[in-house]
Amino acid sequence: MVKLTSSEGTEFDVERSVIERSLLIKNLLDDVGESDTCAYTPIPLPNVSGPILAKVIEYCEHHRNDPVVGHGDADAELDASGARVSDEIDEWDMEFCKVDQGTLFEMILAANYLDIRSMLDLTCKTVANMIKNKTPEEIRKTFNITNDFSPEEEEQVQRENAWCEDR
Amino acid sequence: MVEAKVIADAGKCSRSRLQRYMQPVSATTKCHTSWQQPDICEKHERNVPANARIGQEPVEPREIVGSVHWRAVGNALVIGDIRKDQWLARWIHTLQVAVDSKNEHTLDLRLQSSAYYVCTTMKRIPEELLDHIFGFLNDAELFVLACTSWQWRDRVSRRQTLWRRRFKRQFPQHDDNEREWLCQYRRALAASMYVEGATSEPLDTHADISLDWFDAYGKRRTTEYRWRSGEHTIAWHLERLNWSDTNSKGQKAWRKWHLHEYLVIGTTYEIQHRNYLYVWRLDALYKPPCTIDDRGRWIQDADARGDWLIVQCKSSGVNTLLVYNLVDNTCCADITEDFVQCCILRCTADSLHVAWIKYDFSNHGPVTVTYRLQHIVLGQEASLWRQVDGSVEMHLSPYESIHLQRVDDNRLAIWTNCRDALIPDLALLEVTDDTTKLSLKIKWSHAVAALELRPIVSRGLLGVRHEQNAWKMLSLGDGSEVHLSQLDCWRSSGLYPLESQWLGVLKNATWRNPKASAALGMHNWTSQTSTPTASLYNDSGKFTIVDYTAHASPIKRPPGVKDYPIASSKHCTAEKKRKKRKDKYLNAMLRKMQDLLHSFDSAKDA
Repeated sequence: MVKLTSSEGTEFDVERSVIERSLLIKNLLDDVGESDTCAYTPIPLPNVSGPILAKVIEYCEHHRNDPVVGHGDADAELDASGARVSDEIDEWDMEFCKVDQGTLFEMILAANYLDIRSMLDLTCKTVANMIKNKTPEEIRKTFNITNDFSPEEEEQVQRENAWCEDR
Repeated sequence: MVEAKVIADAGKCSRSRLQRYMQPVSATTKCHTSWQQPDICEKHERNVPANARIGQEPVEPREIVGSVHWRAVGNALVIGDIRKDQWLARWIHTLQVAVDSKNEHTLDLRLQSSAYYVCTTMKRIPEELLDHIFGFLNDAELFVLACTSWQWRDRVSRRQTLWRRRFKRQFPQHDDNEREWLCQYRRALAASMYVEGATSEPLDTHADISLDWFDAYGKRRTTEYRWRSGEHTIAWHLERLNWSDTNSKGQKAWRKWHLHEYLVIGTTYEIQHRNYLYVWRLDALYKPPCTIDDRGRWIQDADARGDWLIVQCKSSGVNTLLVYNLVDNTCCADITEDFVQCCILRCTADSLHVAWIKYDFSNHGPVTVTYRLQHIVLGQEASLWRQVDGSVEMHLSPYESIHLQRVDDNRLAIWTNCRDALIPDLALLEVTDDTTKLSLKIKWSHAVAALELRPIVSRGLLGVRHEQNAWKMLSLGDGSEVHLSQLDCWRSSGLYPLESQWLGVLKNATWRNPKASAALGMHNWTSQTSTPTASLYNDSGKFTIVDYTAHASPIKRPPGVKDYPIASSKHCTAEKKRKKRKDKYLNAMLRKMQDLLHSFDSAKDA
């Protein structure tokens, strides 16, 4: 077992095989070696809060048997425009990402910090899917973006982007 | 599963109600469902300790005074300020609340931990992670996101590497039409900057550094969209060619080449039975042209590319090829060769690959077409020029000839029109060229009865007109037929839509040519010449230019709107380090100066 400490000081006991999906922690544990120290000495994660760390653990537990995706495995499928395909999310992952935006963005930061590539991909895909097939107004509503274009500027921008209609 | 601690409210909520929102971590999503419901919106006034911090930002007590949403996530209570009906997610705090066992029903909410975190909004996502999110969005989706606000326009458009990569992927520059479009975009941009006074000299149109690839991408897509949807403007004909020093009266133009730097026009003077070639620099069309010296021979045909012009001449029954360098208007090579047609495949500043074919045109029926590719290098002896030969069987009909046509830098087509032959009448040849060996091989051949070929290199296709205005598409890869609708505007401009869009265009879709518009007052017989950005209509000497560009200057951020700071941790750290180094240096300098002044004062006193 590995003990993790969140930013607030909450401690989490996790199986080593589970948390090793995080390349950051895996490398740390590999460096420390097979000593018992890691079981008793909590690993501080000052950039991850308790609730988010709990989500991370939940993700790692569910995907414990999946092959680990590293940065070198970037053979991602691209669509015609060169964008990565984002519509292939399995049901559990989709349910897992049904959280409020704040939590979702925190999960992105945590996945990046802990170097869990598959979770980073999943959360980024979820955000990308929140943008897809939406009008600018709908995106503004979704992300609470203030429209600071003047009416003339907005008209020009819309005129320039008329081609986006047949995306 | 993490055990939730008791979370209580300062007497405004019953404990049972609070417990409804205390969920173990695995049920967080349920909390989320009730998160935005108005019944959990309570009013609180809290005093936050002065030393409480959100990351590096101090928490100001006023930030969580007022109306707050709250909810339980795992063992924490999350509070967000919703003053002014705006969800200020950046001021969400995680609070841990202790259990007061003495009073289970009305407990004080007390801050137990000083660990706070900022709940991140999309705005605060660092740039490197934003790159990751943008990687999942296609171009249209990114442009829509850029339409939401100035900040998002900035964040999307500043990713020049992404836009440059996507531009070059979707509009490959080995396609002549795509290259021509980009060249015109550069010219228009340089001209607009020059006119607006942003630069005192016209920009170098070769330089990549001046291009905004986000803008270029949008403009390229807009140009094709405007062609397809018939959105055009009538442009002015601004410049006339200077024909002085030429005997232009009685001459008719038979061909023109619009190169990157030059305009070459071939004319025929029927009275003298002579052909001429004139060259203008595009930036000096007002000056008289250079006349190509044909050395007293009869010009049969020509081809131009880059800075090169090859002229096919005949004198006393002998075919010769003159190679001109347009930069200094010199004839670099005079090759005597028995050939029927030639073209430039590709060129550099000091060399060019020339392809030619020969066949016995006095025969009809099956003939052997011999082809050759020669690498002509400036300043090198002709005997050292590399060359490769080959042959292909074709069926030659009476009144038809065999054509040699460049497809792109590496491919050539040899074709003729023969409707009833079993022998292929279209062959695609591919060049492989390494430093030691030059090879030219037939990739595929078909019997298609072609009347005209239009390479669509950007989409890997070859358009073939095989009957009157009936076109079919062949894959450049293997020659197989590809069933896609064709619009006249694409053939005119040479700019094609992305594959995904193209598939969405109906088979029976048609393009309304502007000359059908009553407003322009043109006729069916009005001739049309097109470039990727415009069409010139000649209606018995009355010229109309229809412009499809959207080359106006990119929309600019008004001066009042601030740049959005880059939320990159690396950037911040580097900035801090730089500031620290600067401060250290300044302090050291200050100390040095003080020491100097001190020693100066001491010396003065002494």
